[in-house]
Amino acid sequence: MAPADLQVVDTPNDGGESLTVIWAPSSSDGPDARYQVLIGDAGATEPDALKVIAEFPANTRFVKEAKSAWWTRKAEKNWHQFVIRSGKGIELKDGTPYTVTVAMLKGEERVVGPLHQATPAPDWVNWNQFNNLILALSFGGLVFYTISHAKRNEIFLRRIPGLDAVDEAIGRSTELGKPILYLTGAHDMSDPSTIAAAVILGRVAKRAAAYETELMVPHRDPITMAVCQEITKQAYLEAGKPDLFKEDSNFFITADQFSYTAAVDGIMLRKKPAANFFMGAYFAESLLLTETGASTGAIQIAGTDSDHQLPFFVTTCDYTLIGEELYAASAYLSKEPIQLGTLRGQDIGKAVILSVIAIGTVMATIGVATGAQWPQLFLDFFRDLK
Amino acid sequence: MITGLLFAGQYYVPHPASEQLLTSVTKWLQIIGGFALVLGVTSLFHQHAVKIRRKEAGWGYSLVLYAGMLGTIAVGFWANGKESVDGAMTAFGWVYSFMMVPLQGTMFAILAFFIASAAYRSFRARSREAAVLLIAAIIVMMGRVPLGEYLIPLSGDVSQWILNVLNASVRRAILIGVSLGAIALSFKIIFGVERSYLGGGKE
Repeated sequence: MAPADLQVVDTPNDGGESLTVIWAPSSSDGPDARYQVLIGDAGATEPDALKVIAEFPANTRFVKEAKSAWWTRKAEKNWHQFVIRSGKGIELKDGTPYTVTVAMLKGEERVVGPLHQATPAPDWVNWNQFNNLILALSFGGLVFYTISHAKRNEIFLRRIPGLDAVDEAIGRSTELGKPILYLTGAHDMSDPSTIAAAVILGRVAKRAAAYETELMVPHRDPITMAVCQEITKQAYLEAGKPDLFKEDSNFFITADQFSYTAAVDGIMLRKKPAANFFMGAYFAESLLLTETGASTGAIQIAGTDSDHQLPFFVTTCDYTLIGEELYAASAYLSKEPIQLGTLRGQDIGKAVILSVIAIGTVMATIGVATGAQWPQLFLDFFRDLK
Repeated sequence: MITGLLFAGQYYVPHPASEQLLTSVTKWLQIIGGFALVLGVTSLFHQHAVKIRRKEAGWGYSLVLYAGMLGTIAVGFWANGKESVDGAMTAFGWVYSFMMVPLQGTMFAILAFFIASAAYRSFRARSREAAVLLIAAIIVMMGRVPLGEYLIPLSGDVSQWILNVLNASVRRAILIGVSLGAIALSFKIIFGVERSYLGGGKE
């Protein structure tokens, strides 16, 4: 009845201050029996000197419940596992050895297992995330391969109406003699959607410079403003119109969501820009901005990866770049092989993910229907493990 | 590139030293952000000063902005940045509670009317897509209110099905595309393939 094959180890793949206790299932396991986990200083030789830090029914706490994959699992899935972490009632220090054991209680009987010593220590690699690393590197390799392929071969790019309309929008502003309003979203430069918005701003600014049309870019983040000022300046230089560049075409309003929205709405109503671009990440302000823009009669083009705001953009804008189209915009507008190759890489990545979803569904079904373990080898590889 | 690879690798290292590195860099980013705010405020002051000087259309709003900003800074210094002292509200707290919060609430409240006007335009079933949108919206709306479910008992289940199956699957498809796009962009930035966001050359 004593917990058999008891092992106490430093918890693998963690930041330290944690020990893991593993033991084999017992024939006495059931809802009427309970396990106790005991811990004490390294010098303790008697179970009485140890402190009970957890007690739970004997038919709970299994290895299979822990979020780990087959390549890091230390025991069979039906074995018991308990992770001791620093927290309420116990403080584990890295480099300090501890004595740990497990006791089983059934009725009045209490049987204590052998005492084991272990020392918590931090790890340098989280092998649970090995699959994530492999997949990220594979996708990176694929992107660079498709870039080199695109340099040698022509790649077909499907039409994206929202990007075809960029020229139309700038042309309309020029004809009407009204400015272009360009927003880069709510996030700062650490967000890929803001970077994508800044890249597209470069292309829009270049065309606006060529057509000699005024460009207004109000910002919520000062760093994004500084970056976009440089992008705009470069665009005017490339267009051969450096004299038309205005330092204050990019300006800061406020970091506050609704104050910014009120200010931009005011600009729309007073200056009546003929073209409004909403690129980047947005929250509740999206509809307040685009509905005001729609009421002024401006042509509106949005591009966002904020999926929760997409319905508002689709409803109120003339064209909407949905999700990844925002990232594809740079490639579409420049037609550079490097950019086009990236798009091809993304498409192959999507095809792989779709195949994995289809194959994974079949394998998971087989695993459940037959009780076979081998489908798990495949499924674990695509799980998100921390 | 080295920094990019270092912090991409940081994700796989659970050691406290790695966490410490990330924390330090995040703090540095906050410090740089603080300095950048000076740039932002300078830009704001400059833009509105020009408007006032040239008496451009709507220059009165710029005056209001100056008065609001300088007034808030003044009461902020006066109250030592505190909204209340010994349970009593300071002038700074008063500005926040009785000006900022109601103004923000007002802006947010406008959203309800904007949703109605945007919905009106979208739901005029002028095309096949708009008709589908209209039907789906009516079902979901009916399924979300007790009266709707009372009138059409099936609307609750159908509404849940639309949200859990149709809506969720499309959202996930968009998210997969977005994630791959973001990863590809990150790779291009880390390896210097994409430099245009820095105002640099084409590649």
